[in-house]
Amino acid sequence: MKRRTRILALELWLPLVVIAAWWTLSANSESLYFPPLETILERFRDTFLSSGAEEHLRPSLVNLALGYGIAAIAGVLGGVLIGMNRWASAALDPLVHFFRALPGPALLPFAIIAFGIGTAMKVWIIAFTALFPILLNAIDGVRGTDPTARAVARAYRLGRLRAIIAIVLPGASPQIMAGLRVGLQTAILMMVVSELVASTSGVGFFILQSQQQFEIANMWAGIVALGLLGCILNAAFGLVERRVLRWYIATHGEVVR
Amino acid sequence: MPLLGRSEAGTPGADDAKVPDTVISVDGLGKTYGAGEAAKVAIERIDFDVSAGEFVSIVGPSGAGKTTLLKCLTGLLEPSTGRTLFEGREIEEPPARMAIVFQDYGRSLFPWMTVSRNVELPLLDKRIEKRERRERVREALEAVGLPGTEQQFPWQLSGGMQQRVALARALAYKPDCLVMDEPFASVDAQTRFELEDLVLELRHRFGITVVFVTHDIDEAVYLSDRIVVLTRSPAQVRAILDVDLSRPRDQVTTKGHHRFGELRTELFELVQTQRPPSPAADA
Repeated sequence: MKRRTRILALELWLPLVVIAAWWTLSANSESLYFPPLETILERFRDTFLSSGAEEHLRPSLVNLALGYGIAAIAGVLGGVLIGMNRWASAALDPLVHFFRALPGPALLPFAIIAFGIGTAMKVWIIAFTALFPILLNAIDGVRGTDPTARAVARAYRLGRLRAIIAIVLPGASPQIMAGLRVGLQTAILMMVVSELVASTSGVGFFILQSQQQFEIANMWAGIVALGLLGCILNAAFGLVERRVLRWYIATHGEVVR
Repeated sequence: MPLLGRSEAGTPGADDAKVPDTVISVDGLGKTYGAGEAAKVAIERIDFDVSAGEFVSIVGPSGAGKTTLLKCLTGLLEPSTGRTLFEGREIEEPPARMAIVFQDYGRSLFPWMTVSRNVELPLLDKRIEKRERRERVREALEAVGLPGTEQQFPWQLSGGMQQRVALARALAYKPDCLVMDEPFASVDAQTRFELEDLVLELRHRFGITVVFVTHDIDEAVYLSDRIVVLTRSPAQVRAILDVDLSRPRDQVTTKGHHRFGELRTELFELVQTQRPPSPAADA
């Protein structure tokens, strides 16, 4: 407990110093670009911790949840199908690597003509971009199933589905979780980018609109909101990961990064 | 009526007329890996039978193809020539009444499942009611001396205890025949003796036929009724040794017996004095 307190203190002191410095240095700022932190936080409170959350935060979170959810399910299922089938692996590998390497924003112009500028376009671009890191890691994890584990499944005549659920997926879970973590970051990125380019709602749109209207404090408030959102989602992911990979951490010490 | 095993009195197979006298029949078995120039013959030709209730060890120099033989006779690998019969039927897949204990318990037990789940896993697809499954798991863990470990994870147990869990998994499967691949190769000597005695006890109690692959000569003599000695690769049967030591056996008396020493020497010579074939020998 004492050790954990110490680590927490070590992690927190620098951010606190930065915030304190920002607060004092910007206190009487009249700069257009750097309004006082106090003002930014007031705008943040008024926009994102009140009724504004419904208007600006909710559309972003819905797109993120749908897009990431689709990517996670498709990525893991696809990983099992491709990873367990040598022919599918060979045939699809180059394609998967191509899309993995393609920067997601490059697909935005296509997404807009194909799906318009509504929710469908954003969900699609988030799902499509987040899919490939998840898929790639899942394929790798499934392909790496231990030969002894396979032999056990055959020796005890497990059904195909049982073997996948009880042995293949848990065995691949360290890599699947690593893929899901990268996928989450990609999804958040594409959530914002899609709102900056073509949108009428969401946090990204709010930031862009505030900038265009010279509401710089609002713009900063939006940036703070995105930063906090990223931190919260990452922390939540970490909690889920520690639970899912409890056995792995117990036997290997740490998770795959 | 106990849930595990087929006979109560420890008379193997005696009360079950359906089981043929020969459980396993290895018939002209050969295995070649690859083809053409790169082909490597792992097993030249092997023939032997295992009778119901018998304890047969397979011993040979390292790299002789023991593991290949084990994979072929369990149906995990398809032989290139010949075949293996299990209870009168040709093996194509691992048979339902055969259980395998693998050498590396760290890989054959799944760290994401509790001990109980690991033991229960093979029963899940077998249309066995949940209550009976639980009961089998409990009995099997008790039989291997690990009662009450159901909710622990394998990695919370010592190596010897983990191999006991693997053994419990095999027992709960209620096999006629237990095939073990160097199961005690990675535990310390003391644990090894305990596990050897446990296998003998379980085999006596449940009347199971055992095929036991090992490279340890003392272990083979101590455990077996017969020992199949393989030649160097490509493997053939060099000799089949009858072990005429009385049962029950125990680590002190049996191993102190002069006959144990004789068999040990005989087996040692069969295994260790094999020279790799050299061209000069033909001249």
